[in-house]
Parts: sequence; structure tokens; C-alpha cells
Amino acid sequence: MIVPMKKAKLVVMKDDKDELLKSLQKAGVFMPIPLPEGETAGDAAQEEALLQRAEKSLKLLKKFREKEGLVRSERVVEEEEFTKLDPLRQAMLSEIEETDMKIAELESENETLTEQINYFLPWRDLDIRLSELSGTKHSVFHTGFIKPARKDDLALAVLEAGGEYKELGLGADGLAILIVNYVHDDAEVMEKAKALGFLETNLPREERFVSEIISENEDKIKENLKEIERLQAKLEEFARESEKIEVLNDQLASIGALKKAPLKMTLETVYLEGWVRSDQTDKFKKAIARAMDLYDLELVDPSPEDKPPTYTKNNPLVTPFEAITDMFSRPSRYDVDPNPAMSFWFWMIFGMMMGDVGYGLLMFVLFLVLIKIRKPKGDSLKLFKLLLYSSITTIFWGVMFGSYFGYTINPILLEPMNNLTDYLVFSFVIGALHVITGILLAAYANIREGKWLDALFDQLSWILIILGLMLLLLTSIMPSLLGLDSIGNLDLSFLQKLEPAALPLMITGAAIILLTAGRNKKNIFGKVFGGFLELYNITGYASDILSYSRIMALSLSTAIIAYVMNILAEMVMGSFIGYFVAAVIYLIGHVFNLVMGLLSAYVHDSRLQYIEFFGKFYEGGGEKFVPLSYKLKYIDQIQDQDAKQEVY
Amino acid sequence: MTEGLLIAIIGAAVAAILGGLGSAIGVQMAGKASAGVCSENPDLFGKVLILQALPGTQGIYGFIVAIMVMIKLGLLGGSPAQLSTGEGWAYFGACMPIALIGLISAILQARTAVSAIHMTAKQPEASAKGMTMTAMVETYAILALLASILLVLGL
Repeated sequence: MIVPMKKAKLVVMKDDKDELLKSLQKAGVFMPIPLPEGETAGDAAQEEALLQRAEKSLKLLKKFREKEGLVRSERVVEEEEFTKLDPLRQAMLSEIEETDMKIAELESENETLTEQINYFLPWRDLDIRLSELSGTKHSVFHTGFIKPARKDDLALAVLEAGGEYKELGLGADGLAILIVNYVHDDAEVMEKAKALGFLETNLPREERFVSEIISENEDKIKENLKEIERLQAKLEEFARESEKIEVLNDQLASIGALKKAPLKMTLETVYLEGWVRSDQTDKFKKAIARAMDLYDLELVDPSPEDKPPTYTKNNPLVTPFEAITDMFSRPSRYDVDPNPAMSFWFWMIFGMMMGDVGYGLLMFVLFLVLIKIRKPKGDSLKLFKLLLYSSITTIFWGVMFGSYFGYTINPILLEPMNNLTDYLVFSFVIGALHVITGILLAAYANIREGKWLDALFDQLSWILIILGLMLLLLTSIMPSLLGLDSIGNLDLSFLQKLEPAALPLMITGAAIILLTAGRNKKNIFGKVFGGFLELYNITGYASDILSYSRIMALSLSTAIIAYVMNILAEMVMGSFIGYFVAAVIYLIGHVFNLVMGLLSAYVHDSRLQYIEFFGKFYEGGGEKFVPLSYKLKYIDQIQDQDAKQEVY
Repeated sequence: MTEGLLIAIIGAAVAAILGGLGSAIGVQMAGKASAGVCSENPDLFGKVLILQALPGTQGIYGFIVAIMVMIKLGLLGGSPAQLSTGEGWAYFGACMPIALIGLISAILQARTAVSAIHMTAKQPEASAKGMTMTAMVETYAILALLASILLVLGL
């Protein structure tokens, strides 16, 4: 059911604004809408900045967190704790950031130190202080690199002139060389050296030996690493308390949402406009009354120009299937809520596509356990529930098809692999019923608006044609063409009595269409040929119904793969190792088949709803009803009776 | 082994080969796009994985038809049927719908999947729409599968 919305117009004194918004957020029943020339309740920039920092810190702490156990416990926070910002938490946030920054600093320092070590490494064996490289009165020192192949030539050139030549370590640019020349030979020798490819490097003139610098750097790196380790241990400690930051995260998000609430302010008063579910007006009024005494509230029905958000309220068995509709498009306020009918058909068709008792049991256990121990929220919870419910139809159709992990035991309706044509016809019957349901909903929408004749002309006519066609298919086409007078074990002879009705049904339907479909056309030409044009839609309905052959194809593909896995496993059985291998084949084969089957069934079942079913009556285009409420990402529940939270 | 049986086996093999080839190419195309999206936003892994898996079904369909031919001809245990050359060609022909359409539709479906994956990267909530668009292409692979199955069983 689509819950009608009421538009609320609320005027309060400026002083009461904060109290009111808090009370509304706690109640979570009011969706404020932006007003022309309006503003927001406050500036949320500070909260948003803090929120970003909290999110970043949580991401960081995640690395240091111990692996979560399989079982997730629900997190419940007292309302008192949630509504008060604890300064200690913000301090903790700053401390986490500081620690992280210090680690980054130390790491970058270590990088610089390592670079320095690498720079000095070829010079490690230099046995004079770097400052002494400045030379003396009679000698000039040169340091630089030469390609190892040229080193002998260089040595010769230096020694010939009476200088000193010393090879040191190998670096990236070549062999590190120390050359000492007499002052007056220097220019000449160095010219030769340059010609040989000697690349002069000026080392910093420090009062130390190179080996000293290196070992000092190494010590510093070690010290830094120790400090990093200490800081990481600190982060690990913080990670153990990351719940605090998670609560802070949700608090900030909630305060931000509050401050971003759109409203309009005058000198003395504040004006709010927004949507309230018509079944929650009492809650809404109570929330206002809780905050203050003086206010002016007006609740009106939406005008035709308004675009109220949509909230669908269905029984708990239907609710999970709403996710399927919402993924397509939310209903608008003029739509019939498609969910009750859609959920039934989705449920049934899903079961047919899977169609195996073993897989149904596996699904049941798997999703029940997942829901119980992981306690998912929001959309994942809906999806898991949807699959859990669908396990029941999977088991049901499994019994009908006599399929147990691919083994056939006593099929009640038919055996997919041996009654293919029966199954194909059966898929068409299901498809026709599904399509007729869609047309009936279109008729219902017309009748609800008082357009009885439209429902009669546009919808009933087609229902008659489809019923007639199906009757014709089952009673005369199928038996004469395919030699079938039953679908599997389902005897269809009772339909024979109805056979004479088939043609009249179709003719009546077609006649209604021919006579009435052009009624809204302007000229006489359109009025006459409109009927023919509409009747041409029979191809559309036929292709819609043929599209349901995918039920049989997917069901068969699940069945055949299960069958093949069983054959493979049976082939290797015999010895002890054989049984072991067979067990592995059973396990992997059936899990693979189950996963692929679930994916195909989910996608193609959705498609049948979207294209074949929704196409008949559904417009969509509604917006989600998002009331002002606490934004809870990490917290599951806030301990308070009247609090209603949006969980995301 | 008769010539007919040989031709029928080649038909079954071609169905498995071309279907598998198409799916392998398709899943690879969609996989590359998924990897690209995940490098930007690892949280979307679950959503894009489903889209990546969609072009993978044609390989399964080809495999199913191959298995059906094997069952029908008694190749999985029992004695293989002695087919005439004409009957062999009939089986070969029956395998062709899923072989050819499986190959082509898997690749075309993968192109849609790649677009849907890119759409999911920009609008994660639209992934279901992308799934439906991608599944539309698969309709024809399913029809080809049905044609092949019905032909094989009808022989």
C-alpha cells in the first residue's frame, strides 16, 4: 500500500527552533523540503569537516583492528550518550591523527636517511674526514666516478703525473675514485681524466668520516623504526576503542543532517514545510508538542502540482521484495503499489528457476544463518530475507519437479529433463497468468479513478483474448501439434469442456478492441483504424508470454548442471580416494551451480517483473521518503522508545 | 564409430567451444572494466562482480547442449548410437543456434555489461538498471538455447 502524504506547514518562534528540530529528528517522521528563498537551520561545515576526519581515521584504524569474528553483535547506544558530544572522543580523534602524522614524518625521515646512506655508500672506505678533501697547499683532492672499464687508463694518467689514485666502492654512476694531484699538475691531469669520462662529484665538507655518517644514519633509522613501532602499537590500542570514533561518526552525521534541514527564518519566527506520512500525523504532533507549546501547524493534502515522496507499507513478508521495485523505480503517488502482487510472482518464479529441494534447503540454512549472525542492515537485510523466503518456493518446486541435488525422485508435476515441451507450455501458462495479473492491476488503477469503461475496453478485452488464446493452446493446439493432453502429471482433460469458449472469448475481446480502441482519436480515420492498431499489439503480448520460456531454460540449466556434477562424481567413486574426490566434486559442483543459479534467477526474475509485468500498468518515478532522523552507519539502535532511525 | 556419430560429436563440441569462447571473451571484457572501477572505488566490488558474471552464462548454455547431445547419443556410459551421416548432420545443425548465437550474444552482452559497469561507477544505485539492460541481450541466447534443446530432443 502506498501511504498518502500530508503536507505540513509549521511556524514556531525562533527560540524554539533547535529544540523543535531535535525533537523532530528523534521522532523521524518529518521530511523537510527546501523552500524558495529558504535557508538551512545552521552551518554544517564544521560537522562535515569533522566527519571527514572521523571517516579517515576509521579507515586508518581498520588496518590495525583485529579480525572481526563471524558473529556480529548489535550495537545499541543509549540516547543520552548519543545526543551529547563527548569532548574526549574528539580529543581521541586528534590524537589518532597526530600519531598517524608522526608515523608519516618518521617514515619520510627514514627515506631521506636511506637516500643519504645510498649516496655515501661508495665512499664508505674513504679514510680521511670529508672536510680534509678541501686539499692542502701542495695538493688538490678530487672525488668522482669513472666507468669501471676506463679505470686503468685513469689510474695510469694520475700516477704518471705523480699523483695518488685510490679506488673506492661501486656506485650507480660507476667506480668511486679519489684522486690527489700536485697543485701544478692538477689542471693537466684533470683534463685527461675528464676526457676519460671522469665525473667529478663534490662531497659535502663535513667534519666526519663517511663511515661515521653512515653508521649514524643507520642508528637513527633504527631508532625511528622503534618509535614507529611504538606509535603503531598506540594506534592498535586506539583501534580497540574505534567504537568510540564510530559513535562520533554517527553523531556528527546526525548533527550535520539536523543543521542542513531546510527552513525559512523571519525576525521572530521560523517556517518549515515538509511531508508527513498520513499514518504518522499523531506521532508528528506529539514530537512538536514535546518541544514547545507555542506553534502554528497546518496539515494539508498535496496539491496536483506537488510531488510528495513515496512510502510503501506492506506486510513483513512483502517488504523485502520492495527492494526489487525500488531498484526499478519507486512508485509515484498515482501508481498502484505493485509490491504485493509483484512479490508473490517474484517468489514463485524464483522458486521455479531454482527448482531443487537440495538447493532450497541450502539457501534456507545459508541465509538464515547469515541473517542471524551477521545482523545485516538496510538493503542487504532485504536481499537476504528475499532469498530466504525464496528458498521456500525453491523447495516447493523442487518437490513438484522431484529434483533433489540433481537426482530425480518421484516428480509430482513434471520432470524438467524428460518433459521439456510440457515444461515449456507450463512456463507460458505461468507467463500468461503473470501478464494477466499486470493487466488486472492496470484495470484496478482505472477503476480506482472511476474509469470503469476504460478498464472494460482497454484491459478486460485483452484479458479475454489472452485467456482464449491460452485455452486454445492447451485444448487444441497442444494436443494436435505436440500430442500432449497433459502437462506432466497434470491432466488437462477437464479443460476440454471449456474448449468451445475459446474462440468466443477471443472474438469478444477482439471485437471490443476494434470498436473502442479508437475512441479517443480525433478524426474519423483514427477512430476506425485505432482498433486495428491496438489489435496489432497482440504481437507484443505474444512476445511477452514467449519471454517466460526463460523460466524453463534456467530451470533446465540448473537441473542439467546438477545432473552432470552427479555423473562426474559417480564416475570416480569406487575406491577410498575415489569417494573423497567424489565428495569434492559434489561440494564444488553444487556450490558453483547454486551460485550461478541464484545469480541467473535473480536477474531474469527481476527482468520478467520489470519488462513483462510492470510494462502493463506501472509508471514509477516516485521519490524516496527520507525523514529528518538520526543517520546511523555503525550504530544499530538507539535505546529509546520513540526514536525512529534511518539505517543506512 | 560411424561418420554420422562423428559429425554429431563435432556439433556438440562446437556448441561447447563457441559458447565458452564467447563467454570467456565477454567475462574478460567486463572484468577489465570492473577492475578499473574497483581501482577507484573498491566498495563497488560486489555490484560490478554481478555485472561481470552476466556474459558468463552462454558458456554454460553451450555446455548444456553439448551434454544433452552426449546423453542422447549414449556417450556418457552405454553404447554410442550408430547414426547415419544424415542424422549426424541433423545433430550438428541442432547445435548451431546456441553455438553461433552464444558466441555473438556473449560478446555483445559484454559490451552492454561494460557500459553498465561504467554507469555503476558513476551511480552505484543504478546497478540494478544496468543488470536489467545487460540481461535483455541474454534473451536471445536463451531463445537459441531453447531452440537447440528442442531440436536435440526432437531428433
